[in-house]
Amino acid sequence: MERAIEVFAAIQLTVIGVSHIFHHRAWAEFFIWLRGKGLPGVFANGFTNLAMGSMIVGFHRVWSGVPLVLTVFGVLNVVKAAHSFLLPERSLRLMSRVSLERSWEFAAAGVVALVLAAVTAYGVVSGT
Amino acid sequence: MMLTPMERGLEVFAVIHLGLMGLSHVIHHRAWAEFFILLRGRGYPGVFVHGFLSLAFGSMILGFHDVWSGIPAVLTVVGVLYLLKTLQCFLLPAVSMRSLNRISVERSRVFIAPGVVFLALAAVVSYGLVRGG
Repeated sequence: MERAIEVFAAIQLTVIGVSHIFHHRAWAEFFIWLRGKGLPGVFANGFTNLAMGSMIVGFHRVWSGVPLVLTVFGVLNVVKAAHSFLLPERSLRLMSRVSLERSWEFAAAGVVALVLAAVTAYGVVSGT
Repeated sequence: MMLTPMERGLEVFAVIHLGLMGLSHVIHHRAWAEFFILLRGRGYPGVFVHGFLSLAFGSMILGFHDVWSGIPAVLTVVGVLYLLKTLQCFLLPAVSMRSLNRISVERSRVFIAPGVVFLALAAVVSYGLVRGG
């Protein structure tokens, strides 16, 4: 079960990571569009974190070795989802930092996602 | 009764969902009214978005939590209800649209009641998890 979640997460992180790097401007536009919807936009963003985070925390509670990295990532996603659903005004203020001029920040996030995908994939392949 | 690791994992997944959704519906009922009014403004596509949210949660429960006895059966029934809600969204969108049409920011307090139900369900499922060891 844990291995299945690791494969699931590696696929998600790779696709989203590569997309953030190559299409950082489109991602900035996406979040600016969500921001324009106000608090409902924050909730929509929260659902994406909730889906990923709850899958990992529910089915991948491994607290040692390389897989620990993915578990911590899952917990952070749940925390981010909680921030969106319980403190939406604050999340909206954070989203207001997004601009097309600084869209390169999404590329940086994409690199982090790819590193996480690589670490998770290494754990799957090495069987740790 | 003994649950498999998969069923326990699904219960943790559900507690996170129900707990967060419940608290958020209680505290930010006005924002949830705005969320559904936004969906309503999209017409049937908005109903389908709502349907996808229910489909994801309901199908996860029914796929990974096929337990029909004791406290865990409560969550399985929740999964069935979510699937019925999904069917209504995708097969009878006009009926779902009528439900969305009743929502207003002035009457956003109606979202508090489902929030309390979500929290109660999260508490029941958590109790089952803790009691199950």
